[in-house]
Amino acid sequence: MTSAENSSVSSVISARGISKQYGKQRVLDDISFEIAPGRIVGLIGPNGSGKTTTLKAILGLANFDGEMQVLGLDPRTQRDALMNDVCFIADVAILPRWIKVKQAIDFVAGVHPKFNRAKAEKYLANTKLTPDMKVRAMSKGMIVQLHLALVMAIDAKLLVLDEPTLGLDILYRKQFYQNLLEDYFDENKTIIITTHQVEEVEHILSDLIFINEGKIVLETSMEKMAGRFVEVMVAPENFEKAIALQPIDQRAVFGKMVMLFDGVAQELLDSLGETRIPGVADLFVASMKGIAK
Amino acid sequence: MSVNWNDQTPIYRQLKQQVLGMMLDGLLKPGDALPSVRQVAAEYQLNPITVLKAYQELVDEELVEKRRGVGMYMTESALDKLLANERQRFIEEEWPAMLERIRRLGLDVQQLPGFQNNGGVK
Amino acid sequence: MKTMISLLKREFWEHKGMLLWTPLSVAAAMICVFIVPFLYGSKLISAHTISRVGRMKDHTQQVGDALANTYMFSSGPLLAVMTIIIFFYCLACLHDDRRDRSILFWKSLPVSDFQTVLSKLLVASLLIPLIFLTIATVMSLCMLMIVSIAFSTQEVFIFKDLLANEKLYLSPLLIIGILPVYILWALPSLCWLMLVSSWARSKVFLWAVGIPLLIVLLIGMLKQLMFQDTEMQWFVDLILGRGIGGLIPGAWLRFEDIPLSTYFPSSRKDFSWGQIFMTSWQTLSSLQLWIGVLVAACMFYLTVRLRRWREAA
Repeated sequence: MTSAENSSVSSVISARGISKQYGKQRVLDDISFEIAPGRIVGLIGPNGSGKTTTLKAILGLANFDGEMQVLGLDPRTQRDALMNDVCFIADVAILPRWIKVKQAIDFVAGVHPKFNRAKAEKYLANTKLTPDMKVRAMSKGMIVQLHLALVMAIDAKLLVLDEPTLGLDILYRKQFYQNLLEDYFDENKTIIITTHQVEEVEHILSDLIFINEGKIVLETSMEKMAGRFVEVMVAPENFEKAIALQPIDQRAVFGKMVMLFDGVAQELLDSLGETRIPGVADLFVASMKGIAK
Repeated sequence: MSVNWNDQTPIYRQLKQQVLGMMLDGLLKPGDALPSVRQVAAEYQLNPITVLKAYQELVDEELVEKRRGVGMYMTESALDKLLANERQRFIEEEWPAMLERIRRLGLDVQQLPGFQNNGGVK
Repeated sequence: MKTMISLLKREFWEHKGMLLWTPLSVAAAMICVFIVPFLYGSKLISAHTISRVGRMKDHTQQVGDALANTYMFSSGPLLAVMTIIIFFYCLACLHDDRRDRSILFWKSLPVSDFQTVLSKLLVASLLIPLIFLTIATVMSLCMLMIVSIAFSTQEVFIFKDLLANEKLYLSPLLIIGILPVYILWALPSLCWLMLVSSWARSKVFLWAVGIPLLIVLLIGMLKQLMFQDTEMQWFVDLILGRGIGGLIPGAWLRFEDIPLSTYFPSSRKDFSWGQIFMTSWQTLSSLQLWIGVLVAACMFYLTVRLRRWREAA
């Protein structure tokens, strides 16, 4: 038994002091994070924030400085072994245009020790895809269905999804996550998702990592987030009291002020107005203006 | 199935309310199996941990029991417990609040429509 | 091993046009063109030629021998096409999937970069020549059969003599037997093209051909300015010849300065594939060859490294 198999409680990914520079630009600035098994993590950040670079680092596709262990392996030097247990969908439509459905299945079957052909075929049976169809003849949604069929049939421990539903229409998007949750995910697997459509995945996530300008701005579980951040619809008469409690963000909505508080007791806030759990999108926008980790 | 979750209460609690609602409406009968965590997560597009939390609270309140290797089942006594809880809550909280509101509006309880006919429980 | 077979299949599927349909269509076209005179018989072939054929009635054994010895020559055009195909395959194999980003799909699977690059080298050096030679052999045999049938109309029956002649079977086998020699001499060219394919972000052709040309130009200039007396021709030969020319079958005979008469005797009767076979295998003693192989190995290593770290366009 390797040490990775022995300690089932150990992190799936543990990153310490990761930095990357492209020329003069510091794309990743000394970031550290831990990802535990059985979680669905949302890596959220604007374009150019370094989130794609972070994913590339995890997958061994880009070099970096610092310490990183993915499933107990260093992605820089042990990438080939790592790919046995990691799968990724990098953005929609990276499947080669010339390939046919059956060729894709044959190839993965011949190359991946953990691929279950029957599973892939079962999933494809529920789609409109036929074995002889070429990718260039398929719509974006169908390409994602094919890619997902291949990925779900692989018994990987870590799945990395980089904007997997970008450009897909709503039907395919809903089906995507439904299939993932129904037929694939379990407590031994971990999923990392980056997406712009935060609202779509916010209930699926168990953890959040906000990244901006190469730095991690927030790293928390959804549970802790719900206990820590509160959004209040402050009635005008309570403005002064509310400001005194130092909200981290505020915006005007229909004449009322919606304020976001970090770590302020619920009882104090209840008296100010209607309280609610902030949506991830609102939290994200607020965090871009700077809050403590 | 898309449900509009409100942002006042945590989702797991809202999910729990949904299940309780199903029990009260008779859609779930004592001894019935609850849909698996996986199914619920997929159908409502939620994280399985959230679903598990809702189910766990139901287990803690002895409304649902976990049968090893088979799944989650509504307990025999669940409906009674639930009705008892709900009734108590109605009598202790909702009804007094309702009465207060009726008084504030200056209405006479006896003259409200359906008051005479709806004497008993279904 | 299973992985390597899947990789080779993948290359074949991806480049089926270049690897299969091209040689098949060229071969088919050649047969069509070849057969035309025979179909129109006396209209296109002079009476003189026809009567000459008639006179071969009593020399069927010699006729059969001559034909069995030389029928594979018709493969020439097909092998020229093969050289061009190999050239463009090498340029495309490590570049196309970076350009359309499908490399990210290939990299999501547990296949090492070494295996990936090796599979493409095997396709370029082994698979393509074998496919082309097979198709060429079948095509040449078809042409031979057409000739035999045509002869038989003049009551010259050479089938038996052909089938009994060992050169019929040995010719294609000997040619395939030279393949290892071809591969060893072509390695520097193959690896150079693959190196450029894995490195260039665009305009792969320009880089692959431009750099050797540039070096040659610089040498020319240097020669003018400083080394007027030094013989630099060998260097030019090296860069252009071994750099890209190695893909041309038979190029080793030029590299090793083997006199033409050795493999192309003045009398057609003295020609033998066996001679070419032997001469070619003898070039394995050349130091130049093995230095080239070493340089190719270095370029291969660099290519694997580039494949590992070079990002999608």
